[in-house]
Amino acid sequence: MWIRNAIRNWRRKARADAELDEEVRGYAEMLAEEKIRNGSDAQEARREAKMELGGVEQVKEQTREVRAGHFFETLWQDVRYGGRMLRKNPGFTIVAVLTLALGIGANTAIFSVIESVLLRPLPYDHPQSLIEIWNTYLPAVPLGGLSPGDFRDWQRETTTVSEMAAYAWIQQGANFTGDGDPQRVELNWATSNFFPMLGVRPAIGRLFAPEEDRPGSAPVVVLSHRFWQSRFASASNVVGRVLTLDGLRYTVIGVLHEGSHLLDAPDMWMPMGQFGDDLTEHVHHEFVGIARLKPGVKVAQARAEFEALNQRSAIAYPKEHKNFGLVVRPMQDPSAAQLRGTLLVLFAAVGLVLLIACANIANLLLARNASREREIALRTALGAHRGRLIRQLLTESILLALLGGALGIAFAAVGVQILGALAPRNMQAVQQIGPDGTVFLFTIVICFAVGVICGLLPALQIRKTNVNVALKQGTRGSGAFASRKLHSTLVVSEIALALVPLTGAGLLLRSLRDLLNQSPGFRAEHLLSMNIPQAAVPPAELIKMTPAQQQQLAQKQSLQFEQIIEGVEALPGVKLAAGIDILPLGTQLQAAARFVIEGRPIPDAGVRPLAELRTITPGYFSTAGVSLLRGRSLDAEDAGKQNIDINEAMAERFWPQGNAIGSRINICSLDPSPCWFSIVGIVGNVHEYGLDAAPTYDAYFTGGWTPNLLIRTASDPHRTEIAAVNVIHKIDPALPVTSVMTMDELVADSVAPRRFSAVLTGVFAALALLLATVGIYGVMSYMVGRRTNEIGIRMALGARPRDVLRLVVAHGARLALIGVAFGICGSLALARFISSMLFGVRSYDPLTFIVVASLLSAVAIAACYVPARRAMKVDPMVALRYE
Amino acid sequence: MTREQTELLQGTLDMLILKSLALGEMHGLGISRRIEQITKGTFQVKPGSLFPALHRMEEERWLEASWGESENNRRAKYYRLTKAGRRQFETETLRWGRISLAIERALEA
Repeated sequence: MWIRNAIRNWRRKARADAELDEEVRGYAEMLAEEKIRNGSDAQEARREAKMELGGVEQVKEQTREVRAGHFFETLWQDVRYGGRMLRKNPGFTIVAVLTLALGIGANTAIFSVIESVLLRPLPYDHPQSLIEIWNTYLPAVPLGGLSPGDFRDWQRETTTVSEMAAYAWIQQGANFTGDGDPQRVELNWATSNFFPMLGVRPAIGRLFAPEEDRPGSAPVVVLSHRFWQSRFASASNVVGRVLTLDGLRYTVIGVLHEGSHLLDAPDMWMPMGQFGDDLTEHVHHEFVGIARLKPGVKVAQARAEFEALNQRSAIAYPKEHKNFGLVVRPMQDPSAAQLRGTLLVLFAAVGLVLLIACANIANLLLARNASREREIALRTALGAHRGRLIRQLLTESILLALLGGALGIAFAAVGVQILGALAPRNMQAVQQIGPDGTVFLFTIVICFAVGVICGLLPALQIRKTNVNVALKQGTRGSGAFASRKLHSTLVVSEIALALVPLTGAGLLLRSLRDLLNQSPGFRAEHLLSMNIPQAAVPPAELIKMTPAQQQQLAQKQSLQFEQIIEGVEALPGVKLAAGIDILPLGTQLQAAARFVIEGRPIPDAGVRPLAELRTITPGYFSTAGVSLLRGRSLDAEDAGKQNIDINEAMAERFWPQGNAIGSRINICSLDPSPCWFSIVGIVGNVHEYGLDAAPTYDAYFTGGWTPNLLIRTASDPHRTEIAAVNVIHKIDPALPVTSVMTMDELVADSVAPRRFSAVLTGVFAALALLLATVGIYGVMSYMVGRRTNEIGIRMALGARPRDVLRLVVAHGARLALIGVAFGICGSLALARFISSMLFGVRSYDPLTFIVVASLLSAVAIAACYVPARRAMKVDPMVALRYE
Repeated sequence: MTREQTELLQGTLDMLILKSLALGEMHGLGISRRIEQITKGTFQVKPGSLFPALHRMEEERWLEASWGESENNRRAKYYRLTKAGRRQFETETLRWGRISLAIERALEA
């Protein structure tokens, strides 16, 4: 009924108003007639009737107020009136809308990334009841896989989850041949219930059958949606095709539906049955457990149960299970954890930008309201409630914010595109963002919040207006509206708000610079790298080989790689070439093993020191530019001998007396070969896990296939690329060549996520500085402008220009000092939060703080200096007449 | 005037308007005079409360209005009860009876 009435009142508003007018007037006239009948004379009767009525307009207004829809009616009036006011001051409106559009747009852009990476539920069935189960290997591996045997046992024994599935944690590579150019593909294993549990359906064909979880089942693969599109152009006849992977043949049975990062990460999926011959073993920790909680079961209960199961496994398999801990947590997107810190920092930065924008708008509104003081006083005198006026002003500022928001959404759409283009390869999640309802809702809420934040302070000033004073004072404001205290508060907050993102950006940029000054341990310039993965020998066949046969295989592989190196080195423009199995800077899987030093007490297996193992070809150190410190680098003579080079960090840590060369270590993971190795040389440290990571203990071996070929060239390394690939394919046309890039590019890639967050924070900080400068200047020149009269008096009384200047600048400096003090407190809090993203600088780095604080103080002082100079030049007589 | 008083008066005013219209249709001033008369001058309804109440009750569909001629040949808006209005009057009378009885008992106790 209310809505119907509201609509009816809306439609017949004009007639209803006319009727109400007639009704109330009629009442007044009948009242007067009644009084005449009772003996009053006509004039007196009319006067008395008016008294009794209490004002025709008031009665009408009171009556209108009870009508349904009255609120919206007046709101609409306010909106139209607000719109007229904005049209009347196009300069103000354009500046305000643009400022807000920048602030709101930046927030919307960052929020849409946050929403789709961190907040959007995973694209699976009932994602909130999904958990993931990992082993940890303490202290080195915070997240690692479960062994297939543990998975099987736990799957059988658990009672807190309704279903448990698993997929391989590590994607394995395989050479895909026989169908055009050889290609390296990445593949992953999953149990047959993995896809149904997540609610993932095939786009075409079928997914895994339960019997395919058992070893010895028919070799089949399911293609990821991305790989199907890129390699097979979404051809529907791909089902039934036979693919050759590492020389074995697999039948394509289906293609996954377009899905999440997890499902599209590998090129293809294999059923668990293809993983190995023995799926009850407890040695290879390679599976992530995924489970669905039973209704009503909390994550903590499931965690307690799996802890107990893990304990049981540790007792049953003490040798294989030592030092394995457990992580049970709600299932999450793999990219979420990596991006969380960066995104939250960016969100904080754009939030501050928006607050500064709000402060600027609040200031503009204050100044404008001051010039509207007379209009507002007039409306108050005519009977408008103060509440109504406050609502009117808030409506105007919300209208401004909504206009800013509409433009901001357009800015955000562009911003998200730019973010996607800037995002490094390893932050792919940022590149696939689409706005949705939540983002839109966020923007609307932000607009209203912004409208209230900027409008409230100026609107509340109305309460302080003295109607009589304001009306008497002519068109100029009385000053009661915008007190000096309020303006000072605005300046202080702008300085404090701008200081925080500037400090953050300063710290991040200094970290980036320090990081880039860090030597990677090799000479990156003129060095090309390419990956030549060799077809893997299936583990089942490897196990069947005798140690001698394995040795033979390694030798054969070495020989083939030697041929490649010789061929490439013969190319014009090539100085040197060499191979290594794992490139530095952590772009590939790392291999580490525990070792024992000859002649020293043997520590427990779990606490033996860990060394990174690298297989190289003899010329590696000179090709890569790794310095040889002592002894000799491995050469062709070392083939088949148990000789190794170690790095400086390892030598200094374990042989502080400098007697490393000649010592022997035992690296037991290299079983079954006799595993004592003699140290023949010490080389410089190379950053294995990134420029920001502490050096690891590295041991270098020779022999076998080293998939990464490094080529040192005389000039631009990319020019050698095609010739080198031709050489490789002449030796073996089935070898895929992938990841061709210069080592300079590799270094750049390794710092790309840091560069991304540092540069973006820098951009937002610059935006904050710009807005704050404009805002501070605006407030200061307004305040000085209002003091022109006072300045005139001072100068008329004999003050020198210098004194006046000092007066004004000292005021600005005082405000700057207070703002800087508040800002430093805020920055210290933020810096603590980003301390894990810093490198080489401490979160309270004094230099950054001093530079940023001085910069903002200078901005504030300059912002009062300019208007103060202007005020000084004014003739005292003119200044005195100014008001 | 505090909020409680307003609400009490408003409820009472509705009932008094419904009562004065129970006998037949009437214009605003007529209703005002009728209330004065039946309460023996205790309640004098000002137009500032009368019109909002009338319009609100019209929107509630308790009253309907039409334009007619007054005694002095003046166009005036006449209000009369609808069926819903009669029902409302009964409900309010019963409620008022319960309240006044309860208060009387409380005062006698």
